[in-house]
Amino acid sequence: MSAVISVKNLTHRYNEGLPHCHVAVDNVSFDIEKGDFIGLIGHTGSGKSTLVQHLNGLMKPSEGDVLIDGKSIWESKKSVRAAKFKVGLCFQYPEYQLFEETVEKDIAYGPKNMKLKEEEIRRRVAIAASFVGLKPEHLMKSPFELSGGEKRRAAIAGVMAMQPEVLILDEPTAGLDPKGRDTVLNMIENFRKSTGCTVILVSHSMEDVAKAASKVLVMNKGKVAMYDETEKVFARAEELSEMGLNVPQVSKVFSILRQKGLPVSDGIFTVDKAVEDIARLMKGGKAK
Amino acid sequence: MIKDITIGQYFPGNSFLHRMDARMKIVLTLALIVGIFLCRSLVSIAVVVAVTFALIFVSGVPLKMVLKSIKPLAIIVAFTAVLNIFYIRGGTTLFEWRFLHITSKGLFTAFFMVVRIICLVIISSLLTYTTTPTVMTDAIESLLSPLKIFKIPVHTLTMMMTLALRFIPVLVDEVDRITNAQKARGADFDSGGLKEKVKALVPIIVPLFVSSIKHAFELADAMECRCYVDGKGRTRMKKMKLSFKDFIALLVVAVIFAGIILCNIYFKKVV
Ligand SMILES: Nc1ncnc2c1ncn2[C@@H]1O[C@H](COP(=O)(O)OP(=O)(O)OP(=O)(O)O)[C@@H](O)[C@H]1O
Ligand SMILES: [Mg+2]
Repeated sequence: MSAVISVKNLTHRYNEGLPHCHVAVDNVSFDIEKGDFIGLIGHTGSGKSTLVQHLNGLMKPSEGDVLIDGKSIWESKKSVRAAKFKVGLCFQYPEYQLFEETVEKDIAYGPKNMKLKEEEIRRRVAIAASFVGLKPEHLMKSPFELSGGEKRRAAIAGVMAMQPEVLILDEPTAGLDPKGRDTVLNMIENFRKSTGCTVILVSHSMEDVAKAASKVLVMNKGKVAMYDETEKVFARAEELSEMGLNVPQVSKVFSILRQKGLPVSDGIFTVDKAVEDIARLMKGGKAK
Repeated sequence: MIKDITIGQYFPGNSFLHRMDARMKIVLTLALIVGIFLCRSLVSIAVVVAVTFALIFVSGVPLKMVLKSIKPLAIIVAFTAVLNIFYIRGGTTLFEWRFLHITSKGLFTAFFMVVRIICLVIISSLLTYTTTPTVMTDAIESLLSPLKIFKIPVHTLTMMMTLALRFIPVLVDEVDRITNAQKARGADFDSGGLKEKVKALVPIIVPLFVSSIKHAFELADAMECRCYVDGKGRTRMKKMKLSFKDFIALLVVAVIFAGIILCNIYFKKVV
């Protein structure tokens, strides 16, 4: 186990020195292991977006440091730039970054900035487009002619095409319908499986996080409130609701079933597992 | 870079200047600016500098922020100074070399120009630091309202101004956001020659235009939905009223103005 990203005593203040100075991230430390799929959750304004923008060197910490592979991002100008390619960040509402004449060129923007060869760029664009399910006829269109969901996918492909070691997505499913959300989540999972990259998924949807993430990091008022395996975090339902967060609906249903005296298993928070467990009960199984 | 634009920036506070009526503030600012350009003697320019610093102090805006508003003007100020030093002739000649002459009058003029520009910028930025953009445009509308007799659509004009000012911070945020998104994709805005640098801006400008046009349409729809009609018969939620402190300010500025003129008369004019 080795930490790809390690955050050390990171503090970020907006409007430093002004009367409306605001501490958005407050003395935060944690490590992200290679290959993890981390769900980052927290109430609105808890500092999630601010935190993730530090992980690829977009924002400079007011205090503290961020290390990638054990080296500080802020060591030199070169390392700041290198961080952008190692850690791919896809913003909240990424569709606003599209600008090229065609979707293909737009996806190629990142790899082109990496100064890759023409063929390599084309290869990566094709791979990224297939990951997000954009068809060749989409690639030739102007990005402004795509639907909202397609724009979102094109923008995500633009980051995937850089083939980063760590992929961070800030609320990639916001404003999509349930099917669109599942598509995006599947895309991310497929990408992770085939490239073995580390993924950080910022989300307001506990269902999404429960389905996808192996670990969960909970932010509350600029601090890390919890950072643990998914089951363990969602087991602390009361603390979560105190922070204005929910547990997945399935967990709620199961805790009510448990109160009613049914011998259901612990640590169930996805529909699939719930179906399995109920099937087991109906076959007359005992509590584990 | 974009964060350095301080025009139209409001600095929250509750000082005397913040609480003054915006119309009076605008008029008095203009009066002070005229006063600055009336200065002819060293004593009167000293009065102006003292008044400027007194105003900064009264406004409660940190000196650092005020100085930030001068920074973008440094080149213009330096340029004016150099031009004046070499072009203006008169008084005693201090230095001569081929076609270059430096005279005492040139030096004084340059000095006066620099001080005047700096004071002018500071005083007018104090106006925007202590007045919110909405209040400012309301005040301008009120000051310009006599023009309505000439069928000039004052309300429409000031509404356009309000909207333009209102959207500066939105656009600044947007530029920041888009810049960050493109930087995350490895955009490089710092290296390369002029051509590369201009080219590097395309990924920011295109999305900015797209979203500005979208904002404009959305805003127009939202205004229509709330039955916005132009001009006539609209009343205000906040009525502007002159109060005691506005008249005190008026008196102070009148004294300063008289002081500048008296100094010009009684002390040696140097420009
Ligand atoms: N550019 C900015 N200037 C000043 N304050 C900011 C800025 N951006 C964010 N903040 C403040 O910092 C805090 C954290 O913001 P952040 O965007 O990181 O929250 P978030 O957890 O991503 O919220 P959301 O879930 O709504 O996206 C908020 O209180 C916000 O008001
Ligand atoms: Mg956010």
